[in-house]
Amino acid sequence: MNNDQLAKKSIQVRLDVLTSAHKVGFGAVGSTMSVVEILVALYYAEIGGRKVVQIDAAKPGCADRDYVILSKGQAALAQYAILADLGFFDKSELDHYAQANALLSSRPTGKIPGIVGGCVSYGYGLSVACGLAMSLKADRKSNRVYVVVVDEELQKGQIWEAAQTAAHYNLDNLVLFVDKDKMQVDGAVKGVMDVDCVQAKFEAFGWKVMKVVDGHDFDQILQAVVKSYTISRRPICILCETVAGRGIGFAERKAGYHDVALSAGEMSEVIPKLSHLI
Amino acid sequence: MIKAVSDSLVELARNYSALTVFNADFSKEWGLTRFAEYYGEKLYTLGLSEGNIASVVSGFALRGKMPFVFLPVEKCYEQIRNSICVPNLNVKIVGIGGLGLGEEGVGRQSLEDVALMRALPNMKVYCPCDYDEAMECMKLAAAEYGPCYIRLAFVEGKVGGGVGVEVLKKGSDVCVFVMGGMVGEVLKAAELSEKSVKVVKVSVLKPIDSAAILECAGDLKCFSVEDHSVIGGLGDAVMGCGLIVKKLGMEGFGESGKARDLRRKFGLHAEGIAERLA
Repeated sequence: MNNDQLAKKSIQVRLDVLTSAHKVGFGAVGSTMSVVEILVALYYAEIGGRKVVQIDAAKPGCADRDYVILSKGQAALAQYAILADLGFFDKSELDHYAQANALLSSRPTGKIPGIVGGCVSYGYGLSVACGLAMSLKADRKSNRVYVVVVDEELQKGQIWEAAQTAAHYNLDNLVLFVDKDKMQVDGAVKGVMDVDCVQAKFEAFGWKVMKVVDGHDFDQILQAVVKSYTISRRPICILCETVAGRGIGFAERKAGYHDVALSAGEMSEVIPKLSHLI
Repeated sequence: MIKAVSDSLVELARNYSALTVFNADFSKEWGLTRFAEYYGEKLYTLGLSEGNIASVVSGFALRGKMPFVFLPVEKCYEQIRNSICVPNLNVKIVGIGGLGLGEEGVGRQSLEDVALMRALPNMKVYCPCDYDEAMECMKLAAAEYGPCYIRLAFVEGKVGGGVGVEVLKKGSDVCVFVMGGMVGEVLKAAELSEKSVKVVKVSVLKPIDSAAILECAGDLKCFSVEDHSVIGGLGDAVMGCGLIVKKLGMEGFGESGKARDLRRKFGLHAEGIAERLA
């Protein structure tokens, strides 16, 4: 899939997320928009003719599968839209997101096809990923574990407990994406509890850190992933500068859109614009 | 009783290739050096990061491993709940409960652990009363799928007969339900008491065998004795079977001191219990 196709996939994911969230009147669209390109790159992009993340809806438990842990669970809708597109479940399930008796819960759980384990709350996904990566090493498997956290999760102590575990056990099969969208429920991350110097912190913990200046640029994201293949005996952090609300002009960098669904009026403004880009 | 841990693990590892052992910083306390001699590659030490440990083991369980993990459960409740019990993973938690760690003081005495673990859906709770039972509980845990908590205590010699609800002493005036480390004291109390005391040991607190409990109780006045909070522990589990029970146990926090002195102070020694069986 070339960059143009990846960009179109991203637009489609945005449309699906906005539509589903609007239908049920629940979602975290501002927060979800920032991570779309990271997830699309993981699930659709190819490097050297091989998908970045090896998963197959027809063989979900196959031995050579890779793992994606979305610790940033509030962005689950984006992952669900992708998994539906990849054939793990019917796309109509998105219409019942986070509703009673529905397949798709607000945050990912292990009951959902394509999801391993799940992250029903923030802050522990990196530890789960460490466990997966350690057990893969114990079995001498080369499968990779990708985990996505959002910058406000770095406020939580467990992330750093996991960071030292990953370095202690030389988990070079673990790639952590930090979606640095700089926004959380109460406003700018900087104002709530600053998590600056992320690169220096992870480096001090013994990680290899790669900075992606534009976390919405597929070339940059994939370049970092390619580089991650060459790192040995160290866990890898790909630090992506992203924009909260990316793709919805009026919602970009606005805390007010962090954890809401769009209104009918807002939808009528943004949907035609996005649809036009496909 | 604690020695049952290392003895059973070495035995179990022979039969269960998926068995993996996790420890914070207490290999000596748990006697894991023997396990390490035989199965060093299956023993992971993760330092004092209990929350992280509870999530890391879930990563192992997601790949089909069977982690046995030594944790004080109150230090990592959220992680046990969200990363182990919500996805219903095959993780076995082993802890030391009660006043046994006397001189270590209030911070290390688990006196609410059973209440916390009983409340979690999918979690089973075992409170063995001697070495043989602890061995049996470890085997049961390995044989049954799903998360469980095994609460151990410092008990020498043999007191019980086997895992389950068991009448240890017959009596016709009152019926005392007891668990884990308190069995010895209650048997002594039964001798001291002027009443004819029936002593019933309960080693599986969840799922509790209601029929057996009701049969043992008959028409007798019922008591429960536990080195645990009177809220949420054995007493409440027995009351859940439909009995009215006078609960003897901890009504506040513990403190530093020799375990036998603390039992005396909190009225959980044989004389204190006998006095209260009125």
